[in-house]
Amino acid sequence: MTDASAAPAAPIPIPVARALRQASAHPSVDGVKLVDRVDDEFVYSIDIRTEMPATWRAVGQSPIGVRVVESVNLTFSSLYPLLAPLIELRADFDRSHPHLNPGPAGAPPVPCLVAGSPRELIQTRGFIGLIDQLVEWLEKASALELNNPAAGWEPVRRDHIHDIAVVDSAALHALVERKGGAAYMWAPYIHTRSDVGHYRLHVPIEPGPFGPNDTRLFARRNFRFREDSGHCLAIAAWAGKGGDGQLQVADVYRPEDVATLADLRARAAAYGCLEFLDAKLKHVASRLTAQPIDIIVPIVVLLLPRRPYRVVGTDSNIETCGYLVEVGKGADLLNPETAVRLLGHRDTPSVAVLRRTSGDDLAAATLPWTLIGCGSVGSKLALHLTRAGRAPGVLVDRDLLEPHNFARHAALPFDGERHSLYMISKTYSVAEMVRSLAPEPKRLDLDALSLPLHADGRIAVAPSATAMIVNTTGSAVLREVYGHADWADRPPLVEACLVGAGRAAFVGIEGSGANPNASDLMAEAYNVIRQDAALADIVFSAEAEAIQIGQGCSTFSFALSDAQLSAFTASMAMVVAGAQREGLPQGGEVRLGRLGDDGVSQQWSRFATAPWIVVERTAADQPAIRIHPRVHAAIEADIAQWPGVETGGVLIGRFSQIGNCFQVVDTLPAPEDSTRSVAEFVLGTRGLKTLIDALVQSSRGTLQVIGTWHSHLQPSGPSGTDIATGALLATQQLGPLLMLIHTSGGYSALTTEAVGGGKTLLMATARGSESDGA
Amino acid sequence: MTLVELESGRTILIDIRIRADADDPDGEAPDVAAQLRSRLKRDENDCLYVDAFLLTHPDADHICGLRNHFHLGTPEGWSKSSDKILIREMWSSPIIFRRANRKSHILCDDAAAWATEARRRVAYFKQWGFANAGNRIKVLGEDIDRKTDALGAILIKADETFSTIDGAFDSSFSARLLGPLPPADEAEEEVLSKNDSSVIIQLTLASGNQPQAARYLIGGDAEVAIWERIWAKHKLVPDVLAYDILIAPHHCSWHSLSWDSWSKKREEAKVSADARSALAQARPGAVVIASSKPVKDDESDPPCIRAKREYVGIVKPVGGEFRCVSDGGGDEPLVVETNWAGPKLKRAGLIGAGLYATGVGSEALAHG
Repeated sequence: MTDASAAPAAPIPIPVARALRQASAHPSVDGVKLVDRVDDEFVYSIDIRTEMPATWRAVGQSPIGVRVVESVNLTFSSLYPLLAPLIELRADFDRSHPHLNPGPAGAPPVPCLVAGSPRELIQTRGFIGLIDQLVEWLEKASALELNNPAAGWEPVRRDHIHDIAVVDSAALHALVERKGGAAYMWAPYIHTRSDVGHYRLHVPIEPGPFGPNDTRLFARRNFRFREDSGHCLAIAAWAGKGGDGQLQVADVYRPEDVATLADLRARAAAYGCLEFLDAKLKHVASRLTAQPIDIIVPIVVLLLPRRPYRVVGTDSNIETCGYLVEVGKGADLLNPETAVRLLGHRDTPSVAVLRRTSGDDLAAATLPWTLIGCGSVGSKLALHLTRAGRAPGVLVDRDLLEPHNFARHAALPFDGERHSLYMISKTYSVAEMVRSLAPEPKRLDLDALSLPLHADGRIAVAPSATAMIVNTTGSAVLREVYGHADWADRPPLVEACLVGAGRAAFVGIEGSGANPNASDLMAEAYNVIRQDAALADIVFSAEAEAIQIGQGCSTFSFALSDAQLSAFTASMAMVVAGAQREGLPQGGEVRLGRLGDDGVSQQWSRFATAPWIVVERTAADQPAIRIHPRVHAAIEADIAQWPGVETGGVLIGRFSQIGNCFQVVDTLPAPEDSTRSVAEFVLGTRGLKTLIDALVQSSRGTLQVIGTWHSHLQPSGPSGTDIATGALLATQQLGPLLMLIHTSGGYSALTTEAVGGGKTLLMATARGSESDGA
Repeated sequence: MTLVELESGRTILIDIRIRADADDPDGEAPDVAAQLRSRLKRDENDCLYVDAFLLTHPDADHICGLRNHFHLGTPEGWSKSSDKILIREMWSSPIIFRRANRKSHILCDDAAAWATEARRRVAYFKQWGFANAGNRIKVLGEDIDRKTDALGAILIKADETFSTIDGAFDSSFSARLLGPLPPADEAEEEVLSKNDSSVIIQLTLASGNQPQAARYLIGGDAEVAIWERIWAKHKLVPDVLAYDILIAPHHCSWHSLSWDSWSKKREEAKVSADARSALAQARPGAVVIASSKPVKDDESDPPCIRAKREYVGIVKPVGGEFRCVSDGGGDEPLVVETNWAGPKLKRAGLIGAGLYATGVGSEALAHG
């Protein structure tokens, strides 16, 4: 050390001087002084004042020993600000804090100030930002807030370690019993032949014996040019109960400073598992004595201390602390001076890791689901959800992955230009992606439409416990077939598709008991869209452009970039993941997304729908009637407005041929020339045609007038007048006609249709009540 | 202005000084009204409120800004358009009822408005025998001639301890009323009123299961005669004066510690041993906070350098500190946080500490 005044006169680099000026200005900095300089390195001592509760300040330090004023050394190299200064606390600073970087026991402790890189912090928030972080660190350290039960136990800092073991933490921690112990496992490893020789190991959690004839420890083979490999022995050790009969909990934080076997044993003692570790070490040592080896092989030690509460970033209170000892060629396991290397830990990509990293909760429900449609939307939805730890269990799609699909599909060609030779199916390509992170999904390379028609197909699509079927085909037929399927315990359908040439997106989530069902939700979506002229222009005006794929082949698909498709699919994946995590809504739900005029922004809206009122059919061919609660409310309001007389209006909706049902989503009020009396309601005409034209125009025909409603003052079915009107209207309407009758006892209906060239008139009545909607 | 947020989440506001300058965005004074509002909660009607507002005494520099920023009148009259702060319960000295009638002390407009509102609430209580939030009041201290005897439940007498706020018992605080003391006679009343008879309160805050995590001693502008009397009364049990945080009386005035004038006698001025003792019951690590301009070594008073020296002398032996709210130069308020280990000053944030200061904007800059 040299006194500042004796420092050579060479000027302090301007960036360093600027940093010090900023540091001095920090309200918590009491003083800055140069304490040493060696060549072009400058060491400054910065006095940092920590605000403490009155009683601690009175004694000059916190109970853990952080002083009111701490002197911290900052060493600036000539590379500053490209390289952040080294920050060192006084050598006797209490080390029982997390967020101390690993280092040898004798060296001054180095605080770990930021999750990222200190030099990034300096760049973004200035040097003052780094100082502020240091001040914050000391303040938290003084109050022991660097570790607290709410945030979790901070694992021992083990950054910048190059020997890495890949371990499934959940499986490893499952070994830890209340009774202390240790276990052997065999781990394949790769060892690079660089100067230091880094190790990469995979420790499968399959405890097994290290038998007398086991020679795996002594076999090593060349792996590749620059690496060698083999199987090494891993020892996991954990604590049991202590002398007091209580489970031993390692509740004192110790920064990583293990460098020798003696250190490792001391660490194992602190974690309460020395006796179990020693037994294994002695056993291995005796084997090595009996059968000396002339090569160097690694031995892995995994200490599993039990912490007082959950370890940060995990759902377990067990921490994994890995070490590696090289033995052979004279290095042995009995010499306390034998060097021990720190072994970093990486988790296997498990559902727990994926969920945690995705910000999802491992404790949240896991709902098995089936994906129908493995095209561009489906493949990306599958990928997003798989990465969120929510992979599909069944994939349904009958198509092959064709060359044009690669413009937007999540998968890449199997073999470049010869891809089509191999006839790769879409389900196969998605299954291959999924199985790298999750159990391999079941594949059904079949026509999804045929499956609900027979029991085997239904079980194949939705094995027991399936919680939702996600349909990404965009097929209107599939929506109708599944939505109206005669399938009592069908899991709810979730539909996700792009509409309007990829400039809008639709997600429909069925209500419980398929009410509203997927088909109802699309009818409701049409009703929402028609009332928004701009959205209607996007959705209903799209001209599907056939993309020429090859001579003689064409398919209907929109020209759309992968990026734009992915942008919408990402949003849809969030909705589906949310329904998986938080459970399906009780009622149904429609979500509509649209692309902004800038071609980049998205706007999403959500429309919740309560269960619809269903007037069930009473005969096989008779259409059922499904009524949106909004329609029921409008009818009730109109009746309340006209007490004592019959009233009525016009019904808007659609007729599902596949479902053989009317879906009523809205009403038009009766024209002003309508007449109401005790005996009858006569629907007028004034202005009605204009309203109907506007409806058909705004919905581009997706919704139409499907009939009328009127009230009866007494519970009764269709009157003679109703039947005559129904017969008349049936001949004037190309589809079936609905005459809905509201009575105090519920709804009844007359449906009529002219078939056989208008000569045969089918008539049927149905009766239902509002409670039928349940 | 002091805002105490209890562990229960309830708030006690002690005195305000929101000058017109502070309401002017280009003014030099910090926008204390905005700072206050940002720390208060809103009720189900979106109405900002304080659970209690303690006015230690009705001087302009302790009540200034009341009409501009606080709702006065019945709570039903509060409107969203004016968006003023509702005072759920007033904590008021009885002196307010007298000063309004005395010629020697003219109340400023805000103080007169406080007095009117206080009288409305007392009348409400007298009429109904109870009150709801926005109509509640506590009168802290008895008035002369037993004028306050009829107040019953809303009167807190000297040396009583209470833990109710806005009609509810709150285990996260208790307050002991030390002053004003009831004057024995007219002559004493004259002496006391000249010495700025303030509410003096020892506030004990609970935190993290520590019922006495922090003790505050708050004495408004009380001066030397008051503190001498307080000491005479409590010197045998001085714990009622103990504090972790003392808000230095009268903005760190010398007149709280001495009968002599600092500007005239300077170093010849003598400290009153009894008044000093009353203010010297510092617990380990205690902090004396001067709610004033920076204390300069000159003849000004308050804040007075000599008073600061006395306070430093009181807290230094117990490892404590003297702090001025204007230390650091920034506009941010001084924040004291209390946890199980006791009260702790919150360190200054970077933005408030003026570290991103620039000369630009302070004056016209010529560019050639």
